[in-house]
Amino acid sequence: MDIIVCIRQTPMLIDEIKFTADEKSVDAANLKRHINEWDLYALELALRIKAKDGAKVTAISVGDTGAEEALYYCLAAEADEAILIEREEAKYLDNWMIAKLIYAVISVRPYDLILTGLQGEDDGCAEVGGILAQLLKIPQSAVVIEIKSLSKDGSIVIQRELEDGFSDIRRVKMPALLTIQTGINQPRYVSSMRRRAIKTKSKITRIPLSDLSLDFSNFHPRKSIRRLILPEISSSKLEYIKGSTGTEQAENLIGKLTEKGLF
Amino acid sequence: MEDQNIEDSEAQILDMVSRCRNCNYCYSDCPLFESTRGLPAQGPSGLTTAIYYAIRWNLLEGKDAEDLRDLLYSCTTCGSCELRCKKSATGIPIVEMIEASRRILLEKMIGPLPEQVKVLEALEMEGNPYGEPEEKRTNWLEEIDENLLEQVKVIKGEEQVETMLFVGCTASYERDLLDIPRSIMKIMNHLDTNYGILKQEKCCGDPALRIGEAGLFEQLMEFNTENLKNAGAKRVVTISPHCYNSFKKEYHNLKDELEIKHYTEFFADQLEAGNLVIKKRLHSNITYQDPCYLGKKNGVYEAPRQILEEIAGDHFIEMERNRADSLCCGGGGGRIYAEVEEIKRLSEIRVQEALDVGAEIIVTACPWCYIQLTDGVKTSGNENKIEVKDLSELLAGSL
Repeated sequence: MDIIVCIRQTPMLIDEIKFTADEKSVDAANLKRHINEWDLYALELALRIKAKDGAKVTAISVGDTGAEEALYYCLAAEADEAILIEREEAKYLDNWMIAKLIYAVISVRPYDLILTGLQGEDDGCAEVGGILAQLLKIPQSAVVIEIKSLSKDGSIVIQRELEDGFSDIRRVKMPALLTIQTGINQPRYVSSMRRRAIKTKSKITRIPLSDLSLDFSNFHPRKSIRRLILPEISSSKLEYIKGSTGTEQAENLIGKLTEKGLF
Repeated sequence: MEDQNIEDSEAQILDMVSRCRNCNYCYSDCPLFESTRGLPAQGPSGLTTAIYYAIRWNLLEGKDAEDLRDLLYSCTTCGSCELRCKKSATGIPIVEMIEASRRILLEKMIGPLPEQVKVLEALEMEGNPYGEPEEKRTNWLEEIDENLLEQVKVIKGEEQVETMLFVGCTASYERDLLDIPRSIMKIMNHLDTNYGILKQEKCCGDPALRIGEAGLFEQLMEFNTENLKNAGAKRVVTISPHCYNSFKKEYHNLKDELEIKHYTEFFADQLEAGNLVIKKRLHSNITYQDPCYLGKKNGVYEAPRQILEEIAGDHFIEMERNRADSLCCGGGGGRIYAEVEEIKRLSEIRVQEALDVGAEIIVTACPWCYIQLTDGVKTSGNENKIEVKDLSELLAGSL
């Protein structure tokens, strides 16, 4: 069984986010990046299927040299192969373009299951998985929270998260693409020693854009960002509800909530 | 860790565990055994037996390994079992084995506990376990009175100082603990000390090493060692006993070149030399919680007591269990970042022991003990009966 996991590096949200002067992108200077949280769950799922049923796990990423760290992490975690589709970091790629690049690589390789994180920590669009499945013309299921079974007939039974605690269970014919929700498993921790050691043992397959069989004449973003907006910092205030008895405190609390139109 | 190193570690663990004669004296001193259901595998020799058979029967994979992980990571690494084993049995380095086993589990991608993963990521990316931005490490100085800042040098590059105050992560980022570095600065100024604080300080690495991330510890050790040496310091004074223990025992390129002092030792020396004079004595009953990484791990029992006796005289009362017999607060060994099984919280047991001797203040000299005990006072409903103070706060207030 061949499993391909799509990996994205996203900015860590610890640091203060700054925008470029045109307010169209995040200022990458001094920004630390890590593997998109949802993608770590997808990777772990692939590795657990490999451990249980046997599979070849390939991690794939579109990025610059910074994405190498993410791919080495995947190899150190026991992925079998890592592919980097080289891109110029400065050039904006929308999710359609990213999916198209991954499609160009995957479509000429064997695959049974493609896993992506449900969404990116950066844009939160949840687009790459859906577009990639459409390009490959394979079934896709989103927000997967459990793998029930893998059948020998080439199908997979999965559980999806719906709204308000609902979920459904469905059988999907493979090859298929699943977008993975956090909490489906507990991603492993890959030690710094393992990550250092893997660099001397394994290599990343680097694919320049020029090697891809893609028509680049029409390879432009389908959407563009007009403006990024920082959230307003709320000036929240802590207030103790006064009252000498519980009843008095409850009455005062109800009064405050009513005053704010919340009750 | 390479496969060969894992095999070597496993062989060392097997060799050491085989020296255990199962006398079980260690159980009598183990805080884990006291705070959990008390199953044999929740005590020192039970843990080491579990490690022994996990290695011999090749069970370091799958669900069995996860169960072993949960047991191993519940240890506070306080060292009580080792002291007992040295005194009454064959002197096995039990905690060393537990930590070596954690390193193996981590390299095999079974450890650490899920809650500790973010801690390791934060240590690597930001140099502190709390996930706070590294560039905001010295922001606490903005909240310190200007007159206190006149004497301290914030070392950014080539400046040299005689004494370096290593603030540590908890005192740097935890605003509720701001009074601790503030008090230490007051005392340093009172002594007219030529001292500094590193602008580029990073975690000493203790949490990484206790959790089993030896590679990350090495990175942090190299960073801090270089910065401390570049500043030309002759001595490092630490706030946290965990930083103290790391510098003193685990920083191989530092421990022989610099004098390493916990602040209680540094100030006790000054008290003895007559440079510090206590002017205001305390009339409340106080007791002292020995931080394990100061007391049990490094034998520093008397320096804090010397100061407290000077401050409080007869109002300083020992708890029944003190010095090497004292009970761990439960925060060490990476446990402060994770929820582990506790039928009874260690911090609550300790708060009760302090109340039992009539103490109105529990004094400690460790930021983690301070946090654990403060929580223990709240969760046991004793907020009106007892309060927690760091020794530095009492000393600064008595000058």
